[in-house]
Amino acid sequence: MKKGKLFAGVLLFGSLWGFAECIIGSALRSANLPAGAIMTGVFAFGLMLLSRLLFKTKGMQLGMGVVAGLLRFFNPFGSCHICSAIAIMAEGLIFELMWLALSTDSEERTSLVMKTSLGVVITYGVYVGGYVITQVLTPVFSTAGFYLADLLPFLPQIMASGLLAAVIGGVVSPLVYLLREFDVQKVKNSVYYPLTLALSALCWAVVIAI
Amino acid sequence: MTKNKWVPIIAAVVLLIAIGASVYGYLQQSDAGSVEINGTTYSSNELMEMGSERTVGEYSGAALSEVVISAGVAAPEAKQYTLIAADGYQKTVTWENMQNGILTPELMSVFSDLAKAFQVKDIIEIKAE
Repeated sequence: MKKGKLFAGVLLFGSLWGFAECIIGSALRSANLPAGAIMTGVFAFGLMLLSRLLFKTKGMQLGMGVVAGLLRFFNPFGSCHICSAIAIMAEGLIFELMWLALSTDSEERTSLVMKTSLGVVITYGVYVGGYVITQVLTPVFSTAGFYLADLLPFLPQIMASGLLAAVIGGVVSPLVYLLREFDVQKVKNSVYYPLTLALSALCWAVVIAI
Repeated sequence: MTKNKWVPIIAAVVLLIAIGASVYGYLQQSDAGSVEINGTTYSSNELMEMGSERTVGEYSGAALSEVVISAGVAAPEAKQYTLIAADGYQKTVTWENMQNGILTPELMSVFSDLAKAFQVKDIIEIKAE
């Protein structure tokens, strides 16, 4: 994979993820829907899995998390921008670590059970990890301070709320695998770069403008 | 055993943990509707009369600092306050935060100087320590 195409891919997928967190996430919360589970299961996990299958490159999802986190930082919605931004970056890191532990980029044949299981486990890990990190960081960056005694009694609720995210991840994963045959290398540079950069710029423009 | 064999087992364990946590959370859930402060339980109506009405953003309610003083908490400025919800969610705040906070009739805390994460819903107890 050429580095230029990889970086453009990181920028595009990270921007799409950040756009979804800021715009779609806010809309879901306004509609009183389980935004956290849907955002993690569909957008965070879905985009990270798709990019991993298409580019097969270690570290790409961490890079996507950094781009999405930066975009979230510039979004005016929500109260603790830096907490949300760091939590998104951490989700990218959690995906990287879990993918490293559970899967391999060279696997050509993956059963439906494996695809679904990967979706369940990784989405649950990303959701619970991101949730806990947000619960720690928000008080840390406030005048109230963080107390472990506040977090521990709520851990069962966090673990319970991850169930929906895990189920969504289990459904999304096999669907994303259907797209793995798309070969990014075959896309002409004259189309690839303008398209990825234009879509990325659009995501940033919309988030910052709104 | 290859990774392919382990992952479905891990997925099953993850789902069981999440379901177990849901059942545990359901069983642990307390009844909302009243708040215990300093050993005494107050209804929402009583709490709304214990502090002057204030507005924070789109929310109105009784001033939290006045509520705890009315409840008889001694030396309130020297204490920290843990707001505990019916579902186990809890947040600890300072006296300065309490002076910028309200308790809504729905028993939710809202602070003008703290993030939304400190909006504790269905409060059942306010601990002063």
